[in-house]
Amino acid sequence: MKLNKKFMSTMALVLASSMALTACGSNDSSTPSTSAPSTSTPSSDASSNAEASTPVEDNVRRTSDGYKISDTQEFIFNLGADPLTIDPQLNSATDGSHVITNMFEGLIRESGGEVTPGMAKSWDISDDGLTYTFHLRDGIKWSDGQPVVAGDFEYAWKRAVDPATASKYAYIFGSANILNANDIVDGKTDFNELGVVALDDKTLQVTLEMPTEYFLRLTGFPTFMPVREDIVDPDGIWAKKPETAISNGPFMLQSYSMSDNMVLVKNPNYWNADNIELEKITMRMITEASTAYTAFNSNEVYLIDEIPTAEIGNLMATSHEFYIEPYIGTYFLIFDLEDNEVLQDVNVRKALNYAIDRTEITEHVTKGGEIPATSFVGPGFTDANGKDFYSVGNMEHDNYGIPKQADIAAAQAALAEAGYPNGEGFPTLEYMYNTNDGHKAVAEAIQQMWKENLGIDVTLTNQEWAVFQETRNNKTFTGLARHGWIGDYADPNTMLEMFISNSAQNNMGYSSEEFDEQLYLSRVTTGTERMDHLYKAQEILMNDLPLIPIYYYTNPLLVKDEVHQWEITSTGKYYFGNTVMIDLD
Amino acid sequence: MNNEWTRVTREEMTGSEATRKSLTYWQDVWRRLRQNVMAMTGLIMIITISLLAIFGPMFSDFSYSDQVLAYANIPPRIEVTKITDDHYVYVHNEFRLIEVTADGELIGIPEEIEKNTINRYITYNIGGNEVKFDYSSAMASTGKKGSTATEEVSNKMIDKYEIYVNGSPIDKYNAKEVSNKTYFLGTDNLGRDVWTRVLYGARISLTVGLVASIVNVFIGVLYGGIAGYEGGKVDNIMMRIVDIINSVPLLLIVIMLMVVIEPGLKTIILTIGLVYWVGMARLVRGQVLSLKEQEFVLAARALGVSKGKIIVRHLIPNAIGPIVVSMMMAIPSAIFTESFLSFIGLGVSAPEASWGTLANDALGGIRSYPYQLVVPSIAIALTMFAFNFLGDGLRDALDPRLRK
Repeated sequence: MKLNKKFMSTMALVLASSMALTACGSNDSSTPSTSAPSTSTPSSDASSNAEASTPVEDNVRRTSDGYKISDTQEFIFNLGADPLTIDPQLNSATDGSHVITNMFEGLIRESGGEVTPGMAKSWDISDDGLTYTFHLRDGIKWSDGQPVVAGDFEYAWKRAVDPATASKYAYIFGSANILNANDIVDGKTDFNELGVVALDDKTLQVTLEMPTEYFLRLTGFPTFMPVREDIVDPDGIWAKKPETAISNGPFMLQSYSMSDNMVLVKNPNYWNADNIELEKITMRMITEASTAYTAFNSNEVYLIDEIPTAEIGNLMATSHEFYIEPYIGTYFLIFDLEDNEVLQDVNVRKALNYAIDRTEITEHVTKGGEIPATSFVGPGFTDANGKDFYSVGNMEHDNYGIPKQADIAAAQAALAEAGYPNGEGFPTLEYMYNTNDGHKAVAEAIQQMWKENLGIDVTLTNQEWAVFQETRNNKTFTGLARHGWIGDYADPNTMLEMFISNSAQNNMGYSSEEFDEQLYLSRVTTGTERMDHLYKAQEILMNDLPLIPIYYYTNPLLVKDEVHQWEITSTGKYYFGNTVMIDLD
Repeated sequence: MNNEWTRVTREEMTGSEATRKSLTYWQDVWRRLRQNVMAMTGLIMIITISLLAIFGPMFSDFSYSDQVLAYANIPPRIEVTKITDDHYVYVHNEFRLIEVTADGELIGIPEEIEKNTINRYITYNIGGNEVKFDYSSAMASTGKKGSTATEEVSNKMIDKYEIYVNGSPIDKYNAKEVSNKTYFLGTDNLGRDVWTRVLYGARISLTVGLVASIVNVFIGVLYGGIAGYEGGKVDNIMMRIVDIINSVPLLLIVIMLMVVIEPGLKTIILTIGLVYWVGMARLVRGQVLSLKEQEFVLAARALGVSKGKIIVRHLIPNAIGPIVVSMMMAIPSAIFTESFLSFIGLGVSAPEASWGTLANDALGGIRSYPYQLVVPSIAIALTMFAFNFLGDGLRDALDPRLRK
């Protein structure tokens, strides 16, 4: 998933490894002193209540770990920018995904890192791993009371791959290896041929081209969420209008005011509505990190994820409301390999890679220790043996030769080999980034490192996010451009496939037959063999270096103590279905 | 018959004759400006700021782009804690130690022996001593769940850590605040010298401000003067051109210009040159329209003074009050326009900085590092004051109606 403006991130290495991806976001388990109710104030309240007036105690509802449940179940958080759309099939941004995850529900729901039944109560997988049969729950309804049927899923999925819909995420059906999806996206087959069919109202059958381990988890991804044929429109306007935004998840849209806020309320028709505590979720749209931080400090919002970089270092040491959540993504720079002849020389790309002190950047620029990136696939992706893809690959290949701190000698040697000793005669490169203080700081730091270590001049150019995306997608940048990629599912394929020659996400003009072949082979194989191909693909990629990995993302958050049991899925989406607002005093 | 008249002597006649020597208009302006203390203060300030902008960076130890990332965000006043007899440290707001001298010169980052982010301490080797910097109490002192009361009590940095030298705690309150000798005005988020950057930023901001005012005077005043004095068809056409220019948003002009020339100071100056005189032209036209009906213009015309001379010598000096005020207002407005354009990527490209972009960059850290915002803001404010004082004085000095 393209990472919007989100950039400022921190994470201590230790935290990353101690908080396994599965432990997403349960705010209490990560702060030891709060997980034991006996030490905190609420429980002492409880004991005094019990002695003084027993009837009061009866009226107070408590969470399973002893916190008093608040009377007002309204949760407010900062969504950041106004999402372009919240139509599940049209959305391609993180902010939209947060809303969709709470308004809609797919066949499964990821909860606590595990795949749990969502709209489907169970599923059968054929022995060859190619056919999935989902059995929907009984009594599941849309927010207007109509039943959710298997046909809604079939319609939604076909709508996503239909070229007329122009969904930016159509390719993900190809990644999921659903029958004919790739051909449909390439325009070779009609979209009605997609391998999904509603056998009856309660049964959905999906046919895959190849056994795909991550397919089941993907059915919880926003693009796979059902929509109703009778209400959708081609531009996704329906999803922002409370009258037509009919959803099947725990919450439904109550009001939307452009660039101000969006209000979700509990959906009474949701199958599990009895267990949803929150009555109302207000999503503010504060785009400025500093303003959002002020709002958080004055209790106007309870959760923010855009925190001013300057504050993070201090917050990490002093605030118990500050969390660093893992995020499966990489911050990197891409080269213009199509037109820039200088950058077509692999030695130049090596020199630029080696001359960057990634540790300095994570420690002093982005702060709080994201992990310096030495490969494209970061921590959080497991291979067939259950080991971390990142650790295994980097261990085996000695970090693919990418130094965590600058290797100036190697960088200068590579540059000399390319014919520019001490940077003499090297043309001025253009480094493009989207307007954001964080990106600017990283760009300036790298610019200075190249100047000092290699004698290379770089000019920095910034563009507004929408313009920048256009520039990058059309490959109209001339030197380097910043990029960030967040995995859509916890499989290395989600990262690596953007480098396939004909991928729509391939903005660098990188084309390697060997790499394409390895990724192709990974699609027709399974298990360890498949992973070997992916390892090989990453090795080829890191030898060719069409990118400069900088660091692996983390997700720093500020969450008020009053918000209990908030969750972030493995792909970084908020889910508030289990959230309870608690009273602390 | 009483003779009430007496004869005047020669001495008495010459004595009452004016002895003031004849002054030209500009000499008179200068004389009156010199008498105005505020105006002279403003003038001296502008000259000082300009000289600093031109020569200041040459005398600085750092260039505007020199970074020391480990020295990021160190304020102008630092609290120096004594570790041993000849070793002192500064505790950074981000909970790490920086070795300094007793009078506030930065020495370097001490060698880190162990960094424990779980138990929240860092041990350093400072001059052979093992220094343990323990900030585990930082979290507790901001209050755990339900006990937010402590948050109000201690919010000061110094209450949030302990320092142990070779195992024994030192008196952390035995710290004195000294000024930062290495970076006079502190460092920014990438460890760059704020003082040098502000001086460098003055070059860009003042250039933009001056260009704006010059364009205002030369194009705006003359254009408005001609339109107003000529009147009729000429006025109509000229003012419709102004309307057209005025109706195109500034941003659109800049973006279109970017297609032709690359972003940078040139683009900004050109943009400001293209649009900034519009308001002034309207203002002057209005003034001239009313002034030209007055008798002194009629007199000038009757004497056969040429049109150009009437506009330049008679009409504009009489409209000088509003002109100067509007010109002085255009300077800060141009400085802010520049910062806005730089922010959206159409202005100077990083690491070059103007006052506007410096202030903009500092905004995110306003709570912890306010000095980064204060310094460029003071620079902008002082410049505005100076221009306003000078403007006021100039208005009084230039206005022929106030001539004594």
